[in-house]
Amino acid sequence: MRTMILFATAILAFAGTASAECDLKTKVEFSDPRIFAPLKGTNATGGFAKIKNNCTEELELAFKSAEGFKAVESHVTVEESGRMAMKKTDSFKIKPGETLELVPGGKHLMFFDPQTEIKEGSEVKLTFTFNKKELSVPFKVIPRIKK
Amino acid sequence: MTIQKGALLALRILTTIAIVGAIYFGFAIWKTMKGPTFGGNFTLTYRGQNWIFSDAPKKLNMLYFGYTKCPDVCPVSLSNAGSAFRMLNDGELKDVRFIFLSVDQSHDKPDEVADYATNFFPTFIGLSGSKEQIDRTIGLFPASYMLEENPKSYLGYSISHTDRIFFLDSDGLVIDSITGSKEGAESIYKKIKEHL
Ligand SMILES: [Cu+2]
Repeated sequence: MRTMILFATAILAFAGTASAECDLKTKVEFSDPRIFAPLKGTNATGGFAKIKNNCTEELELAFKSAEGFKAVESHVTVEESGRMAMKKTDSFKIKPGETLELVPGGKHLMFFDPQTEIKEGSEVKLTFTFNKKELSVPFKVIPRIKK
Repeated sequence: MTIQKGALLALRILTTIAIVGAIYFGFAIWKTMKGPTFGGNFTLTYRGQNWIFSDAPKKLNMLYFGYTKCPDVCPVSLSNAGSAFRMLNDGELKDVRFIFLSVDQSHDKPDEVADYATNFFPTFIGLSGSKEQIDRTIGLFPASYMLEENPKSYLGYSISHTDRIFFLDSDGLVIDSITGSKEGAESIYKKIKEHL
């Protein structure tokens, strides 16, 4: 019995190291990564995407930086006593096989104080960490207002 | 007085009481269903100048509370409203106006608010005001906002606020409202048409 437990622990430990090698570039799937072109009269804008975790381990995503912006944050929009509020969060967790949906009115990425002109149709490189390993992904700049 | 006549009179009195009562209760129920009246005239500022609702009211006036650094709920509501305005014809556009009031008195500059509103539709009016003017205005409506300090975030604060577009008549009284971010442009457009 004791050996079995030890054996199981060894397998788990092995699985742990094996999944830590999960290749972010191929196993983390971004769909429709986009950020809204900043509007006049404000220094803030939002970014959205669907992020699927194809690794065998849970991933903790932290948003580090975005090219051309002074600061970035991860936020969650929540309803509190009839009011809508944005809360800053340090990270988002994605279970294996699951998809994190960053959508307007929900979990989202925020960008502050663009340092250069962020043009519609261009791309902004965002850098995330997944379980402390870095991954950069281009996000497309799209217009906020559908004309 | 015969018994018959007496009975007839009693019946008449009872019927009158019943009718009056029914009217009274009907009115009371109608009043409760209609709910309390919100709105009224209010004074704010536009690009630093005094702005009074009753100076140039339209047949239909729409009002939304938010702030420019709110990148999520406000712009969704405002762009839905902007899309709804794009569905209106020139005649309809003459009878309706959209007012965006920034409740972020300490950070949103009057010109920023005015510019911000026009992102969504050229005629949208972005208003500011003193804290007293803003609080008095929001107090007229079933709406509220709250500034929360958040030293860990880049802005250092966040504002939670009611996410509702109010429809006002020419006296500034609320005749209808809609959730700006959840219901799309089509629903807003339908409500505008309904009230024009
Ligand atoms: Cu946000």
